[in-house]
Amino acid sequence: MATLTETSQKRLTIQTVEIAADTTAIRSLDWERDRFDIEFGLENGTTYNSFIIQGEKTALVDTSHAKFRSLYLDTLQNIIDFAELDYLIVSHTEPDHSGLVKDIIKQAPQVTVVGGKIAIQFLENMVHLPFEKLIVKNGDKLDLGDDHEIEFISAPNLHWPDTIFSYDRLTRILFTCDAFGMHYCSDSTYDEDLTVLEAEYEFYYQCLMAPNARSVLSAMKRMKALPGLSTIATGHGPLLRRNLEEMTGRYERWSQLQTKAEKTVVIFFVSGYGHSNHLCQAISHGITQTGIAVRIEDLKSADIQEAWKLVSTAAGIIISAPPVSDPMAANTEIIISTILASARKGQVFGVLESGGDDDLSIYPLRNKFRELGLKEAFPHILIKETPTEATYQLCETAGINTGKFLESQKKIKQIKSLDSDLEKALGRLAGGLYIITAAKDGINSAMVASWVTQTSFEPLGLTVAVAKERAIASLMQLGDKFVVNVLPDGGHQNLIKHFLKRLPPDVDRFAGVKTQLASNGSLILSDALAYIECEVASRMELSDHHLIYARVELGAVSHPDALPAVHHRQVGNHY
Amino acid sequence: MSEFETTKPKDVQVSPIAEDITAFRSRTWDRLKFEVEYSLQHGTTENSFVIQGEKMAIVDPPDASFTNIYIESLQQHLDLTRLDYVILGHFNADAHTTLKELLALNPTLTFICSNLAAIAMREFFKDRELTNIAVVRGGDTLDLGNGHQLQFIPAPTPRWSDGLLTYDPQTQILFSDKFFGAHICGEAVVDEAWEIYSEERRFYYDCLYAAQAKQVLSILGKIADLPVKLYAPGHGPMVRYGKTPRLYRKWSEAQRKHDLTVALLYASAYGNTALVAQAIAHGITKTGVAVDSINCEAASPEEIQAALEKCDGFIIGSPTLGGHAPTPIQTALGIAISTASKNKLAGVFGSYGWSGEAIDMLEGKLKEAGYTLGFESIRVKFTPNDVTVQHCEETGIDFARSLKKARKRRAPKSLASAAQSDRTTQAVGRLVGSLCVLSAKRGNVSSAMLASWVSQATFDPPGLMVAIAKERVMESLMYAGDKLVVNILSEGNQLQKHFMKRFAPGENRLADLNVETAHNGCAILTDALAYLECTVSSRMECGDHWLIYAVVEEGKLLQPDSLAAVHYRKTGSNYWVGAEV
Repeated sequence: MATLTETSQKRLTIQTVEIAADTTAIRSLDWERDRFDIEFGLENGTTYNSFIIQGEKTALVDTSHAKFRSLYLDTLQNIIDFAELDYLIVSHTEPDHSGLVKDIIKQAPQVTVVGGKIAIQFLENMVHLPFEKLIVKNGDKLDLGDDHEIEFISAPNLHWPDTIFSYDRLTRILFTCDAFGMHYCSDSTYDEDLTVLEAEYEFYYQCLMAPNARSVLSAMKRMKALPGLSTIATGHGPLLRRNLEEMTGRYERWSQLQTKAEKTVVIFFVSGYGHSNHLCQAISHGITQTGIAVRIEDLKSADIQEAWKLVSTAAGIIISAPPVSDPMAANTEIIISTILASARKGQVFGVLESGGDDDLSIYPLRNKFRELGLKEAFPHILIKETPTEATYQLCETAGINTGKFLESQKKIKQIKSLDSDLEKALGRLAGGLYIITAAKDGINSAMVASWVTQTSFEPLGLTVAVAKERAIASLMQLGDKFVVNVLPDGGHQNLIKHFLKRLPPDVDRFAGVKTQLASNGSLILSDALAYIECEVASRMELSDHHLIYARVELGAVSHPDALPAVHHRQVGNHY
Repeated sequence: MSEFETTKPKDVQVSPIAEDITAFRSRTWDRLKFEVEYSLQHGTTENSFVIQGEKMAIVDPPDASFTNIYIESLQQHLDLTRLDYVILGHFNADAHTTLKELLALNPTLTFICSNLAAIAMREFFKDRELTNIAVVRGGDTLDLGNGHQLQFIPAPTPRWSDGLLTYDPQTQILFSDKFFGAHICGEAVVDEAWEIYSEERRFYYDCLYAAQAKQVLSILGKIADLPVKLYAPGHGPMVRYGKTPRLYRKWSEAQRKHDLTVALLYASAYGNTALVAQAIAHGITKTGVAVDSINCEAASPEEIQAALEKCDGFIIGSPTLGGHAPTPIQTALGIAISTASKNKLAGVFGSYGWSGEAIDMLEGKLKEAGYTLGFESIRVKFTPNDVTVQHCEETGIDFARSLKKARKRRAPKSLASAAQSDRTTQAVGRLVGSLCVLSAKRGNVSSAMLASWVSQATFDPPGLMVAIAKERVMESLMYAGDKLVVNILSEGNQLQKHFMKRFAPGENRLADLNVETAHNGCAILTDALAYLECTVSSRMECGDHWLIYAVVEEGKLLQPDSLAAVHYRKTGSNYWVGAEV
């Protein structure tokens, strides 16, 4: 897994709170979590939640991130006696929750580690210590006494292959680890105010859960068979209690939408190798933004039949290079052969390195796909150093381009068929022509826009409609800054052409364009007629666009006598 | 088509909401009344609650339009001879038939209400012996047994000076009467998420409480420390989320921050004058001017005086009873003339049955004293309807705008500090849009206006966004489900000139224009370049405007060879100055 470059100055705190009878939450609050994984996009920190259930026997559900080692272990020691810890339930083995499993086993050698079959295997390789284990599968029960009967629900792929949920029949708490979580750090133990949380909640869903929407639906079906939930005790962010029904309802709706999407891209990654997991997540996030469904499969554990079925029905195939000298290499080789055997003309493909120092070369793979007549969805991605923010942005853009490419095949048909009266009338709604620029963490993005309107006097504000699949949409969250560059009538064509061009993901958008730095950090185009610096104040989510309302902070006109460019269209079904 | 046309019959929904407590929700899917707060036409429910401890109490029986089905439903579920108490959150003349019926079925029951409600009831039931009224005050409790030790919280507002809230500590339910309600009819007994009805709730607040913000804050203060699991209002679903009271506080505090205030003084015999007052108040508050509502029957002379000293304009409304204004109005008029400085803009309104002498008297006395009247006095005969209500709302908007203009004229211009903001607004002025005429219609009410803050917003479904100032008349007609036509004007068309003049309240905006009716009922300007028939889908609050998103359902290009008129401006600080069309 990716190593974190943490410095010790970061603010880390611990919250301990009783959430039900005999049940204590230990929430490790990480206030300034680095924006490292794609799902931390909104930068509100995160929490790692661990739980103790004290019946006649004592069980610990998940641990914490290794960075909390001493804080967490000290806190735990104040609550329980390590010698009396009977069980450690491992919901899944991603290091952020299981990073301290080894420490627990050292302190409490008598403890029985409870987990799914794959989780226990993973742990054996991680811990390198002998430990007591109990493998559980869906429907198994574990009695802790005092009526705390724990039932296990298998929830594979949410979002790790080995995930299990634990349900306490007495307190009706469901422990779900990553599912239903969000990266949001605050002192509130519970989901007090949905409006504050919902953006993070959805972002997290789209990044981690959307690619496995079918698995979400089947896990939720199992949840419905339980006799009611009082609380969902998540592994990240606030616990769900106040808005529990609404929030689980959203998971269900979003997942149904995902599974209804007509096209699927299947991504093959390699668990536990290089940066494969995170790179593929970023690509997946890009693809799902365009409304195309994603299936993520692990090359190590994929089944031949399943791989064959997935590839033959997919619209696109993406492969992250597996290691050459792994004990599992034989299996990954067979799966790759299966993929190549079932791929066909009309599909698109993409390949990327995993950055694990032992990557299978992606060039022969690329050539084979081409020979089969598949089109390359994005230029192959090479990982030469530890991935940075820019690497993930590049992967996300590659995903978006893949989605767009698949969508455009559909749109060409649409434009031809929708020559109706309505579209002609709607096309007459004219707008200006603008280049929107935004910058965040050293990434500069730009977008051509025409759907912009002033929206308020007090405070001065405007609204931009941004298509959901635009990469820039993720730089226009609440509080983000951007610049609207108003293009002048005449002489705007070159700028439009430049910014409409589809670029390979790693090429600088602004190469060859005259710019200056705005006070909010975005770029001002020197050839614009006027620029307006904005800060996003609120957003409304619509079918295929977000409406982004922003307060105007500053602006100026460079050519007072020039007229702004106007975009007159004939039909309303394209920009 | 009349809004009172019945599509689905009224009924009573019975549902337990806590141990020993059952809600009887009398439901109608049609618009129940002409009060402005019903104008979204999403139906409503009148909620009554039965608490069965060792003793039995009913909270807030519904109005006359539900008496029969309500009593029937109660009888199916309860033994009414066991009924001990009827608790009234306020006394409403409309509800008296239901109360009479309950009393007939059980003559020994006791009414629990505030002192003012008791006075009003005794007046109403003159013909009967009403000995069984127990007046409660703040801090009083009533033990129904089984732990239901009810607490009473007086909640007087100008509109309901006899208001009373009831709290059950056993179930932690607050019976909040008019507070936190919404006029919406549906199956949900409890709101499953606070945002589901947020639009209806906000509209309800804006209509009923924005003009009573001071009193709202004081009542919120009284209930702040109660642990509440469920708010049980008199209308709409039960409220589970503390978000709603928090929003009431936020909205009320925002009202208190406005720098212009209108004192609205009235008395109401049958509720009609109050209804007009509320519609005027809604127009004023929409415009970002605060209203200080004063019910002259309940307010002390000191309160009236303080309000008149503080206000920037004042409006007096009165019924005519036996050819006169009631005494409290005479008193209020006296205080106004002796307190309010002559440069304060004034206004008069009233409702009447036969003749409106009180309105003439108020108008005459104010003119004599040297006040300028901001609008032609509103005279409403008998009960107002939806068109009168819209007229009153427009009058309120107009009155508030006059105050704003006067304030602007007086305000010193700070030229130097404005330099950067001028540069910024000039840049914003470079955002261009198509000139359009929006037309909307709901029931008998319609309106039209010029707009250029319009843009497409989605492809599938085809949709557009339009920003509407909160103070616009049109704003009230642009809630989810409302119909709208966007007429796109062509280059060189003179239609915009027609719309740039100032219209009087109630004036037909489309007089003398070539108009056809669209399938959705709104007006198409046949001289436009193209038109789009839309349904409003959602809205977002953006400073002093609402951003409306509407889905386009139909449309037609009328002049294939023309281009759209584009609205170029030199500044983003107003709509029209420097406009070149």
